[in-house]
Amino acid sequence: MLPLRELQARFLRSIATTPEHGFDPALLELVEGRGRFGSTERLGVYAEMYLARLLDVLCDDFPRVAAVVGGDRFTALAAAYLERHPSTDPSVRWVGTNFADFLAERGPVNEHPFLADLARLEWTRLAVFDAADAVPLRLEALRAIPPSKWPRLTFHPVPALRVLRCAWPVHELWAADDPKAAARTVRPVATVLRVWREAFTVYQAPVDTVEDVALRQLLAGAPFGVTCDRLEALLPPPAVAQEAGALILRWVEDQILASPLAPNRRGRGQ
Amino acid sequence: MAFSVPYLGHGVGLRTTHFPRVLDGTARVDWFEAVSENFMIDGGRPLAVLERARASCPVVLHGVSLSLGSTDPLSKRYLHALRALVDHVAPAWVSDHLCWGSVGGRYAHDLLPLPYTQEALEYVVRRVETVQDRLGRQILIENVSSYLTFAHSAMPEWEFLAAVAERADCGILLDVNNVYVSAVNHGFDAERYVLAMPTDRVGQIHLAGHSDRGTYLLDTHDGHVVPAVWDLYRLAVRRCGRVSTLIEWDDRIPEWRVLCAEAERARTVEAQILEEAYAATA
Repeated sequence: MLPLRELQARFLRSIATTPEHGFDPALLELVEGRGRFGSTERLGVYAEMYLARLLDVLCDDFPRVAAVVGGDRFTALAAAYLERHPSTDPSVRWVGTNFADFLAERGPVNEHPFLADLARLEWTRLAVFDAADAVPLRLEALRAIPPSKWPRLTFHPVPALRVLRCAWPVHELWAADDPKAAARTVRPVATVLRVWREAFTVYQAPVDTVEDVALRQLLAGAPFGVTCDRLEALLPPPAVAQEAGALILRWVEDQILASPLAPNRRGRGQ
Repeated sequence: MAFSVPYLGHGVGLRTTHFPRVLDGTARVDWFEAVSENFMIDGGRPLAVLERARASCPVVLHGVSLSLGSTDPLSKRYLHALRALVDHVAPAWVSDHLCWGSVGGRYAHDLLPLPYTQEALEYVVRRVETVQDRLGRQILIENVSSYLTFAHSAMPEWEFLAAVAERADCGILLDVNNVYVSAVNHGFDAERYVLAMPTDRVGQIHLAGHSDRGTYLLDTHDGHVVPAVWDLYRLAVRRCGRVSTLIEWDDRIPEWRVLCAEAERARTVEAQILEEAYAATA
């Protein structure tokens, strides 16, 4: 008889490692078999369910990566990932935490060098999907602020905003009807993506250099005046305020700015 | 020591397939059971759906990752998140499974079987007590479907479950389908299991479908409750009386009316058994 902890360690090791390693003989001795449903088959049910369940989770979380790689190859990739990065969180929500990094570490995996970026986009979409709610800033609130206060005004991003820097235009792959076909023609292009949520829907869009710089300032908590100063390096001076103002209006429309008047943000940075 | 939970009627699981109905107010049911871990998040659609469901009817929280039988320390972070969710949702009760799912900090995300030994019993009782202390309330523990048993078990599962419930002063979520699946897989008498339950501790019943894999039954929650499980449910109602009952349908989830029809069938079965019992005593 094994102590409970030892039994559990052997059990999990047996079901979470690839079948060619076989089941732990000391564990099998403890498992009662019956007729055609012997101890190996019984433990095999758990081994099969372990991979199937976590494979389902990875397929759900990374559907475009799965589509590009294809069924059997994705299964093999997922199995290798799970051996390298077993789940360490009680919730299956976090099983895919290291998947993008795992793909990046493998180098140009499966002739698809963009795969890590695509996985990062899918994981970011999940983060945005269940990020904390916030009251978005409304245009009326913005209009009520006198021009003299704008330079020192600090905007706050909503929690459901991420900026993703990729070496590939993976948003095009994500949006393609047939990601596998699109993968054959995609070329590397440095791409900055803004990922955000409006109500319950997650969006992503590429941003240009001007918006990228402005987003960096937003996420760093810089006042509007400082953001304009940074944009002067990219734009002729007369265009800076107009461009910065247009960006703020777009962000308000996309609901990525939190209301300074929201209860959970009262008193911060106004 | 006593255990008591309200009678809620016949409910269904709160699953993404029917989130739109919950949001537009057309998902009418006695009560919902929500998988706790699916809502331990910061915001977004799932939490909005849970709040909407809670506003329309009672909700209970059903966990799959408490890992009550694990030899790892209880996750403080998990318990903190669960407590926060409980405080937010005010569920009618909270439940999890009589099993383990993690060791050495690694999670299987499965409901793995325990050996039914004195060592495991002492261990699980302490863990349930700790969880109840942290949550500030009694919990219900559910019997799981299993595909193997251990040769060194010292007692049958039903004795183990009843002993945990009595000693930890918690409730029992009796999954009638799991009893049936395990009974077939291990060759024990399912009725004996149900009859061994301490009736004053059974606070909820689960009903679900399963799959026949030839040499064993697999608990798949992907179809209708089979006749043998309905029979076992009749026995459970005869034995325990009126108990809140939930239809678990987690895969190949049917349209809302089919799901509700299954819950209604449970209501009808319960009513028939209770009428028979009343007639016998009248």
